[in-house]
Amino acid sequence: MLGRLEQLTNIYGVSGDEGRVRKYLKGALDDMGLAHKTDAMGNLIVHKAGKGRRVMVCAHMDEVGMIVRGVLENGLLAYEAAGLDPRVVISKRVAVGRDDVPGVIGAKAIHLQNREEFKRALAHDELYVDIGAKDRADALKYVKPGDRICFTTKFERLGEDIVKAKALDDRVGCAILLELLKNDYECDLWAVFTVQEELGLRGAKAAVWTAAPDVALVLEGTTANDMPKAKEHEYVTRMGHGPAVTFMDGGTVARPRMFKALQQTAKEAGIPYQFRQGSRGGTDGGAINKALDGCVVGGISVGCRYIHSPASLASVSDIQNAYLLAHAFLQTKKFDEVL
Amino acid sequence: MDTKTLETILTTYGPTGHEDRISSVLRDLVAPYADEVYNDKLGNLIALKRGVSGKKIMLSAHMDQIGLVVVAIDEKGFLRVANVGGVNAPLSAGHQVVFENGTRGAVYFERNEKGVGEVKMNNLFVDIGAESREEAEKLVNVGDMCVFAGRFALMGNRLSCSTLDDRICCAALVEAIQKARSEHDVYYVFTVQEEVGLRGAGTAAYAIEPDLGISLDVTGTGDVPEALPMAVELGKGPTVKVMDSSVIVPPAVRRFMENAAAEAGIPFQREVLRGGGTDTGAVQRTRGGVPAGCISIGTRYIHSPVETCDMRDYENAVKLLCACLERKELPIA
Amino acid sequence: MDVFEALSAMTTAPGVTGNEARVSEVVRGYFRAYTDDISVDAVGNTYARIGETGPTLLVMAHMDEVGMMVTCIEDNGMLRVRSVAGVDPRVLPGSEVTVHGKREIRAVIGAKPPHLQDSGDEKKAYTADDLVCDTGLSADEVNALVGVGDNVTFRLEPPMKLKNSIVAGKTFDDRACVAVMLEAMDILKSRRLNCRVVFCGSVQEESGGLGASAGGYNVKPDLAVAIDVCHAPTPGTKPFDTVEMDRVSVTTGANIHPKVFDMIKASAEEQNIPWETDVAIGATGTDAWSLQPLLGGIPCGLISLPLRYMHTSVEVISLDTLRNCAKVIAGVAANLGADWEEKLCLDD
Repeated sequence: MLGRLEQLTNIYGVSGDEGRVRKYLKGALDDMGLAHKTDAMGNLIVHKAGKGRRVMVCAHMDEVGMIVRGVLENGLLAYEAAGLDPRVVISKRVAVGRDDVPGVIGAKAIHLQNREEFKRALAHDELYVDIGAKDRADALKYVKPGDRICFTTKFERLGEDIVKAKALDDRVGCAILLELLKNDYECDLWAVFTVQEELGLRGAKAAVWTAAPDVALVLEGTTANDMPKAKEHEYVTRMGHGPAVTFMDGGTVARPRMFKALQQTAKEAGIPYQFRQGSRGGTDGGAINKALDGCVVGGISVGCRYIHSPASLASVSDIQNAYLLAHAFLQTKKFDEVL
Repeated sequence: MDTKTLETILTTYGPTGHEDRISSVLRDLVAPYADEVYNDKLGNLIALKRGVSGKKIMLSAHMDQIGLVVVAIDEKGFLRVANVGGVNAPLSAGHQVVFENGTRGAVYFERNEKGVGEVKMNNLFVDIGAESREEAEKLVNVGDMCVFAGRFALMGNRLSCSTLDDRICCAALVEAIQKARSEHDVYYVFTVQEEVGLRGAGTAAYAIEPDLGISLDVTGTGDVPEALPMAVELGKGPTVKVMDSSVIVPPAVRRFMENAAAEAGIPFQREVLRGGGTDTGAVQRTRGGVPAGCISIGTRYIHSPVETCDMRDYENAVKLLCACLERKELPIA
Repeated sequence: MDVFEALSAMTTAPGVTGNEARVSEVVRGYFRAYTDDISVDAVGNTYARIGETGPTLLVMAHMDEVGMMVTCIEDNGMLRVRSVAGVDPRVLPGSEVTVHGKREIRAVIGAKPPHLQDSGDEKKAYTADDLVCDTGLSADEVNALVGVGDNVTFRLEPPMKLKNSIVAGKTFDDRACVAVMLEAMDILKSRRLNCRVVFCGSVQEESGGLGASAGGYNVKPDLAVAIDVCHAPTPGTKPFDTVEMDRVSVTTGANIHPKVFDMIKASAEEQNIPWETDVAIGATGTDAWSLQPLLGGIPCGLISLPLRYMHTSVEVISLDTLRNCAKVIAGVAANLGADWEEKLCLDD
């Protein structure tokens, strides 16, 4: 699973342009002998038909990134971002478009700034991507408006238990889902690798029509804010303390039975877990729970430090335990106990 | 409705997402009058009274109330909380809250130079009398929710209670199921999770596929000191909703309701609510669109512990609802 | 087809978001020239269908206009109004409006006169609460004719012709694009189609897309193209926020199916129509956003007509570009046939 995670996090797949992630996953599914379908929005759907409860398990393929809005006369690219604080994009390397044209997002050198400028954070529309073009015509030989811009951070292990990569949110979920698909569960399973979660749960909004689940599990990367200046009650999750179980977020309030069932599953199987101690933030669950005639949604998340930035961290044991928790939930048919 | 039943409906625990208790209370009250009673996947309570016309009307009032959710418990046993629904942080400080298991708490705020007006949710904490985290964890857990301790105060014609939104309308539905005579299939839906995004109403409407939706909720008034202009006053009748942030009621549905009121001699007002959405919007947006309207009860101080309405408006709201249900012809947009 | 005449008729019919019945009637009248298959759904979306076999293409432009509603009647008969969706209160003072009560009543929007303002007041923008709508009628007359909830629109005046096929008027957002649909129907009336096209005048786009959400569900199209307006450059606008007046804007981004983008682009290029890519990272703020996730996903495209001074009573567009938009959408329909599924395949 870690090998898959490495490959997955290195792929460029900004919201709306998930093709390469999808291609990789299709290859993996083909190797596993599993049939799959891609819907009109690009969601990758695996239906393992079975008797019993309709259960959807999902993870999103897209990562936060940027899009080229236009090319300036001087050859620099104006861009737009979704889900990215402008302060984390400065001084980073990127790849632009399907040809992975190398670029950088620079900023005015400190030497040239005055005191006021030094204190003020720059906004996205004051920043540009530089691919080394001479002028507009030159730039347009290599890139065009609409091309996605992706960070190029490479996966690495840091120490015993930590991985560093881009897009841990939510390639960890994708890696876990792929692993779950190796097993057979006693339900009608709809595994969905969704698109465009970062733009407002868009893929899930579509996929839920097809899966029409009664119960769903959402596998996500979430905030770990366990940093020195943060107050303990603002950590949300702590890295290394186990997968986080959601009681409430910006789009769902966990049904009491589901919240209990997830905890019960962890206790029975001896899996360490923590609570996602926050009430905001969104996941695909927010689209799924109120779609059609409703669905009971459970959230299992892996805490990621520096989420939504080019380089985030997560704990390998958290990822493995998240898989074990999701697996145990499905294996012990807890989905029958939450309705 | 007798005062005791009304008080029970208003003060039973039921914050967003945790509506099982209030659902149970309401279920016992409506079951004797319904052909079918059930809860759906999200917990909406649905009581169906069958008719003969083949048309379906879905009524809705939401069971959930706003509250505070426990996000963390510190080593000294203080609870750190976040809002469930539109809870105003400064207005919460200095109030008593209660958890599902009866644990009581006092809400206060971290001292700051500017005083309570600047207080945000993450400056609040709840004191449940515990002296340590271990002691607190015997009483409450992370993820538990508390609500303002219910106070029910009759003041002449008016009633003050923190949960008028929307339990006063749940009470109205309970009266209506007893009193209304309709040719149509009427689904009395007590919805869940309205306060966090109208989640229950949409899913209920998707399953029911009604020909007409009438929601009941509270609305603001323009009759208090320094109020922003709004054409609703306490005691002048229930309202026929024109628009709120979730819905523009189709003129045909408004006319239907206003005609029902006029013919039955029921006073009413027209309501445009500035900020705030209701289940009406969620019902309207289901599938291929549903004609949907709303009867509101004017309420002062919404989302505060002292919400106040006029009981004559409540009684007329019940009458207006019954008058609508008794119509043969339903509006088409 | 006389586009200017159709525009005049449609923009002088009131149809504030949520109350589109009158403009729907006018639109149906124009639809009748091209087909008998006309219908209206439960929320007021108005449909015209052509074509007999093949995939279903939904073409959608919204009929509703930004406007206002009476929220209060003061003791002296003056009206308080609020935007129903999208009217900037700063454009209102001094505007002539029509109050749609029991009859159409001419009125003006007023605010405190300049003479009586404190110096510095003129720098503060008006909010809706500072304004009144004055009919000049007595309180009794007003109460007999007007009620809370009645719509107030910019005065119903026909558009005017400026130079160079440029026209100015109210509610080109989005009735100019309804005119695009009519013009497209005109172009297609002599073509044999290998697809079904459902032209839809949608409702409530300005208040969140109820019409698109219901319409997509009702029609269940195989693909959809929304037609809306976008911003043309005016002083102070930033380079990539606008599209030149003489170009058809074709949007790309997450809301848009890349192959539908290709179909639209192909149609423009084969007809030598000047067009420009408009980039939207996510939400396009149009019916396309509401349509896209329905029923498991609808492949969507978006064509836009550049427009200056959006949501004012003096919106400005080019009739030439309007006609070009119609040619582009007609071309998409004409090219659509049995190989549509193949054409829509995402190549990973």
